[in-house]
Amino acid sequence: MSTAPPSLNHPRHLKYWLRNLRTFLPSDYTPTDLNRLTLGFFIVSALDLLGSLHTSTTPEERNQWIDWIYSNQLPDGGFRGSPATQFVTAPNSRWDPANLPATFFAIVALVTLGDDLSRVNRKEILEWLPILQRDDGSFGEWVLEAHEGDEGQICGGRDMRYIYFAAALRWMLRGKEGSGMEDIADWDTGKAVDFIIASQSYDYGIAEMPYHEAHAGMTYCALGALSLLGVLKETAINRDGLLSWLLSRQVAFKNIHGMTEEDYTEIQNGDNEEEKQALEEVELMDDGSGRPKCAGFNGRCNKMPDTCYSFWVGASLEMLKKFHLLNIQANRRFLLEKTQHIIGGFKKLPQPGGYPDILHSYLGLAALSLAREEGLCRLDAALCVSIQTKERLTSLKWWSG
Amino acid sequence: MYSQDPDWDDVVPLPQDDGDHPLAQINYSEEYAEAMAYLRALMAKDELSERALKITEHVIDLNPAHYTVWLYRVKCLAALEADLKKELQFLNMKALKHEKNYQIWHHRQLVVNRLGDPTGEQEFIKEMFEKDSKNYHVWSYRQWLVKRFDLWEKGEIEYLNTLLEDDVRNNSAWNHRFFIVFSRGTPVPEDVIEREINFVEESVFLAPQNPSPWNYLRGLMNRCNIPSDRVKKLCQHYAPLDNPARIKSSHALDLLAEIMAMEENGKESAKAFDLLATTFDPVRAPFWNYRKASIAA
Repeated sequence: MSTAPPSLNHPRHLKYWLRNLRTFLPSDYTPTDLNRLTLGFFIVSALDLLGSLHTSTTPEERNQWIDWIYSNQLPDGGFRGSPATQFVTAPNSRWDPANLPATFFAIVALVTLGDDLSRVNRKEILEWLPILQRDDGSFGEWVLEAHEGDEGQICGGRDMRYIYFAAALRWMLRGKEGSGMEDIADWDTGKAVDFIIASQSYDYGIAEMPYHEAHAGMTYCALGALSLLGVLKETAINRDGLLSWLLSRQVAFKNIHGMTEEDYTEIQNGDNEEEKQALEEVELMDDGSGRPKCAGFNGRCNKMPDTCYSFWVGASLEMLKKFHLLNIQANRRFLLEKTQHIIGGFKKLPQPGGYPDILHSYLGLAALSLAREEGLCRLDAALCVSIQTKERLTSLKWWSG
Repeated sequence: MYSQDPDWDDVVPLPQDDGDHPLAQINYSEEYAEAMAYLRALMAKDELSERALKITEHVIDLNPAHYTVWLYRVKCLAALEADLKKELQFLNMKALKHEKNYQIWHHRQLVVNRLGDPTGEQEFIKEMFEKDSKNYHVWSYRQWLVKRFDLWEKGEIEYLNTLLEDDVRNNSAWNHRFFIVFSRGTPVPEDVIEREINFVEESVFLAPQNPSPWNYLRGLMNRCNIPSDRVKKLCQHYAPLDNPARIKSSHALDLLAEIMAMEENGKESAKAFDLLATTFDPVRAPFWNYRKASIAA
């Protein structure tokens, strides 16, 4: 059986992202309403990865989006997650707080759009980060101010993601040599590193917090934080074990992964033994190597492959400088043949039906970019933006010192 | 419609200002846009009232990932001295409807912590696990519950046995098992270690190619003194190097390769890595070749 080699349908992806950029997102996105800055980042950064942001939009438009992002900055430091929490005519900062992930996404989106961050309250953000840190080294997502005898509190779970965002903001806003921010008290990076080490599970993957189940997304956040803190090399995590765990996330694509749950249940409950056996069948390369043709990644042991884990695992391996050990071609075919959508973008799962969504469409592109897919700009694994965007930040005068 | 409701007559809604050139603008339903505008009006003046409680429920239903509305709800519950048992019933409904949501479980933690009583929690978690026995947020919540109410020996292992009997590949259940046995910081008694090794052996017998018990075994080996002969025998049973046709588990082969390398039996170790690369786990061929090379070095 010979078929055309799979390829990235660049024009379709561009169309998909321009539609996200220029038209309303469907109401299905309502449960992400408080993460509008995150969605905004994915949209501009996807166009950046496609190499089209500066050719498909005008400087005037980009400045307008930059202004919109700044309109969500708060005077005491940080950005709100969405205009949905703004009270406009009756401000109440208590219930319109800065949000840690949103602040990260706002800043990387600004740099992506070509802004020089001169309007960012750098000092205030750096002063806010230590307030978000808990005694055990972990971070919260936002802070509820004290009010009429009601104590203030750090809100959000104990969660590896927030350590990543704190480390990334510290790296981005302090600049290379501190660049005038030397006097601002730092948060306790040692404690955060200890929290990460304690979160490595018995199977060597990393979890959201100690003793929770190892998870590839949390592992990415942990490694990203260590990398941006500049301590990845010397941190006492079990590296060989982690490498083995990460590579075990790649799973050969079986027939069962490509069918709906209804079809699967029907076969399971039926009495056709041949069909049942076929569920576990893997399509192999025709070079006699016994290697599977398609193999994506799961995020936890014994789970199904899902587009986004091609990024979380791939970028983790890239940071460990071991990306070459994964089966790059089988992953590429998984993404391009099984989850790339005909209208552009990527779906979460390789099952028939379903639509692409912004998160999986972005991370699908990011995963392919790590593997140097033709037509995509190269990606920085730790920041999850294009290398040229990262370089735009590091070449800002105040950053490089 | 709040605008037609006399109970809301005195409230001036605060509509959202997206600006002229927003990113990621969502096509809100009229219902959501209106509920949010009235919610903002109450939050702007910190009104903690029955109607505030009601509107948080409405907004949560439409957008359970709204991060400030949950805490605003907590403040309302406290101000009204509301019945927290009733709040749990509300949360049960929401959790079953929005399975992937994290805020619900965080909120539940605050409520149950304040109640100071875990009665009924394990039953509800069971209901959640019947829908998805690998739900990350629910397992995280269960760990909190065990720690908060000292439930280590209140049926956790027995429950895990049932879950793993249903699905021996449920890695979340294996992880919880490790948490129950090892996270208390007290020495683990010999008979418990013996029980756990036996459990691994039985589970491996059921599904030799299931990575979970093999990983768990590595965890046991790192935490306590397990005779290496016993582990080696188990590996050799499922991965006899002298008879590759009878190899039933790549995980046994992997662990065996490691044990052989530690015993400085480079030849056998290399053979095991070769078998992994060529026959038993070819997806990861580059990795097994790398492992083989790093042991030779």
